[in-house]
Order: sequence, then C-alpha cells, then structure tokens
Amino acid sequence: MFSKLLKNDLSQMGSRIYPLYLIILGLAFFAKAMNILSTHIGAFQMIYGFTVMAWVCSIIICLVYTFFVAIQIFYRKNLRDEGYLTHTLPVTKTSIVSSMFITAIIYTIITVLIIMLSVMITFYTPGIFHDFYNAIQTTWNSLNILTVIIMVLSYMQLLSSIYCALSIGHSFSSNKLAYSVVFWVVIYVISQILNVIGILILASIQPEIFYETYNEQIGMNFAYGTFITSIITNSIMLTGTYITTIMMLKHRLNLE
Amino acid sequence: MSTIITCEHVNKEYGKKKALKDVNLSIENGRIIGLLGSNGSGKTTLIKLINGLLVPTSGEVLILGSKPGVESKKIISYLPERTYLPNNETIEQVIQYFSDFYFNFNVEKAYQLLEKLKINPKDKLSTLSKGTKEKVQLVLVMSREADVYILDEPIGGVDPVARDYILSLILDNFKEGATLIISTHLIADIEKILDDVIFIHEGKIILQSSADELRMQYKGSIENAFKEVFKNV
Repeated sequence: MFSKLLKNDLSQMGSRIYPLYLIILGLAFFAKAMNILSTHIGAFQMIYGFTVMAWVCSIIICLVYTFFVAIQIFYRKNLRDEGYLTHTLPVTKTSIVSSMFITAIIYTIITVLIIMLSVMITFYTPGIFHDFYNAIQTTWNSLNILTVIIMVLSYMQLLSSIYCALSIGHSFSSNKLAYSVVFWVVIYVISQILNVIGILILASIQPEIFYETYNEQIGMNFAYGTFITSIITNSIMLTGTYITTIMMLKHRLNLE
Repeated sequence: MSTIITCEHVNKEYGKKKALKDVNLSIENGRIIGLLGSNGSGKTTLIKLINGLLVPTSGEVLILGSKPGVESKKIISYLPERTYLPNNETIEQVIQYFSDFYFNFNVEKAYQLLEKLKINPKDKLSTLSKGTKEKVQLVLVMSREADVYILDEPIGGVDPVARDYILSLILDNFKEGATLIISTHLIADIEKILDDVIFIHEGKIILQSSADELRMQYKGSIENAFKEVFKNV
C-alpha cells in the first residue's frame, strides 16, 4: 500500500512541477543558442542577457514553488476536504505522512539536479563535465560533506516543522491557520534553544575550541564541533516534529 | 445475526462543546439502519468516529471487535456529506485511485453506473456541478463490495425528484448481506427502506428500535414516531 501511496503522491506533485522543469531547460537551451549567435551577430547580445535573466528567475521560482507545492499538497490532502478521502484509505498515518515527506524530498533533489543540468546547458563549453568533476574532487572533503548533510537536514527539518505546525493548528476548532503560525514559531524557538544547549554542552566538553581559534587545528575542531552539534539538534527536531505530525493526525484530526 | 459495530459509553467533546454524550449502540450485520436526527444532533460526529476520522474523548468504538483502523477501513465504504474528491483529476483517474487502494472496488460496476447516470468518465472533476460530483462520489462508494456502507446525508443536497432515483441506486448496488447506515434529517424519503432506526438528539441516542415495531406503534410512519419522540424530549 505504501508504494501505491508514493506512486500517487509522486504523480500528483510531478504534474504540478514538470512544466516548470521544461521552462527552465527550455530557457537554458535558448540562452545557449543566443550566446552562440551573439558571438557572430552583436544584436543577439541583448536577447541573451534577457534570456539569462528569465532563466535565473525561473530557477528561483522553481525552488520556491517546489517547497510551496509540497506544503500545499500536505495541507490539501490531510487537513482540508480531501482529508476525508486520504484518512479513510486502508493505510496507516505513518504511511500517509512518510509518502508525502519522501515525495517532497525527491522532488527537491530533482529540482536541484534540473537546475544543475540547466547551468551546464547555459554555460556549456567543451570539457565542462571534466571541469565539474575536478571541482567536486578538489572540494570533496569531510567539512564540505558535513555542510551538505546540514543543508539537507535543515531543509527536511523545516518541511517537517511546517507539517507539524499545520497539523497542530488544524486540531483546533477555529483560527486554524493562525494557530499553525503560532505553533511554527514555537517549534522554531524550541529548535534554537536546542542549538544553544548543544553548543553549551560542546563548550563544557572542549572549552578551548571557543577561545583558541587562532590555532588552525583547534579552529577545525570548532567547525566540526558546531557542525556535528547542528546535525544532532536538527535530527532531534526532525524526529520530534515527524512523530508529532503522525500523532496529531492519528488522535487530533479535525476536518470540521 | 452478529454485531458489526459497537459503541460503548462514547463521548466526544470539541473544546467545551459536547457533541456526543454517553452513546451506547450495537449495530447488527445485514441491516439497513436510519441514523435520524435534526441538523447538529451529532450524526456526522458519530459517523466520523466509526470511520476513524475522529477519536472519542472517552469510551470506545469497535468495528468487529477492534478499534477503527486499517482493517475497518478495508470493509467500510463511507460517503461523507462533503465533496472530497481532488478537483484537478478526471473521474477515470479517481476510479483508478479507488481500485488501487480498495481490494473490493469493482471498476466495471463504477463505469456501468456512470453510464447509467450519463456521466462522462473522461471529465475533469473541476468541470462538474456540485450535484454531479456528489453522484460520482456515490458511484465510487457503491462500487465497493463492502461489508458496511455508511452514507452521510446522501439525499441532502438532491432535489425531491432525484431522491428516489438515488435511493434505488443505493439499494440496487449495495452488497447482499452488508450493513447500510444512512444518516439523514429527511425521514419521509427513506423510511420505507429501513429495517432499524436510531434517533439522535443533542448528542444523545434517544431511541434504537426496529422500524417495524415503530411503524406498528406510531400509525405506520417513522416520521410520526420521530415527531412524537422528539416532542417529549
């Protein structure tokens, strides 16, 4: 049943986002064509400039839209009238939330990949793939890997905290959206407090990393320490908000 | 006859408002039951509890001895009072969706019923009128070979001429031996098909009885019984 839910969620979200992917890639191809033409005919330089601007705008819109659609689908399918359909399916609440969450993450990854592909199309030169590969190899150290992990975790935590806030807010009989905003702020404050607690624990274990930053080794330890603290607090918040969302839909669902 | 749905001392509160007060019910298999009460009497809350869309504040709802969950949702076909289908999909896509999730969904029956109702399965739900959407929902619900059908106000938004047609569609298409619960405040329109009745008022079950007994007691009409009983509440 989970695979059916996932298939359905992927196709629903995809049908909303695919047109934007086509626009981004189309603009990338067009920008490249204008770039080639502008080397021969100067008049195309201006069109090239406008096309690149449109392409950059489409990238920003696509990133925001992917996030917005993920939240909107969760809201519509769980907390509005469509919830009558979703919550009477013979599937568990964990499957419902997990399927929507995984779908949102998959499309975020696809969006990033499409953007990278469009960058390569727009600025294509012979050997670009080789240069790209080399760039990744030279920057691929443990600190950068940790940075990527933190970015992914932070995004997942943000998404999960919004799902959680919406689920709590909509368990009330009135002012549901207002309560959702209030609870999102509460969740945000809790995550910040957890971060501070994490840093304080780190400081009590290795106090020298906070004042001997001129030492390169200790400076690196400071970076690793704060990154790992951030990964731990993000993971705690992600797990907490995820479980709370499932529990709210299970015990406090209110479709009125 | 075995009991399929049981409610034991069920209370449901929305904040300070008590929607259901100490509801005790036992619904037998294979009966057609009218859940009758005025608007706001608690019919929909009770139905939502049975469908697992709400959790009781106290007490217990049991479907075949277990709390509402994945197993009960497999055997209950539920028609809510709202239009709940995704507007951006076609009827065909929704039929596919039902067939994916409900093992007892009969795709052929769904298309036959749509044809009878002259509804084009290729139409997008957003292009349909509210009445047609409600018919599509009824077709989907009645195309399941379920053990329990729970229909919340199925004739509420339908004009008097179409009511008989909708009722015959329900009666002709529910699985033989299944339990059918119809909630409505339009008693006169459905009373002839009922085996049992449950009267609900301000969250309390006022009466649960066989329809025949009530007809004998109140000059052949359940509507008369309803009026008499509620006069004394």
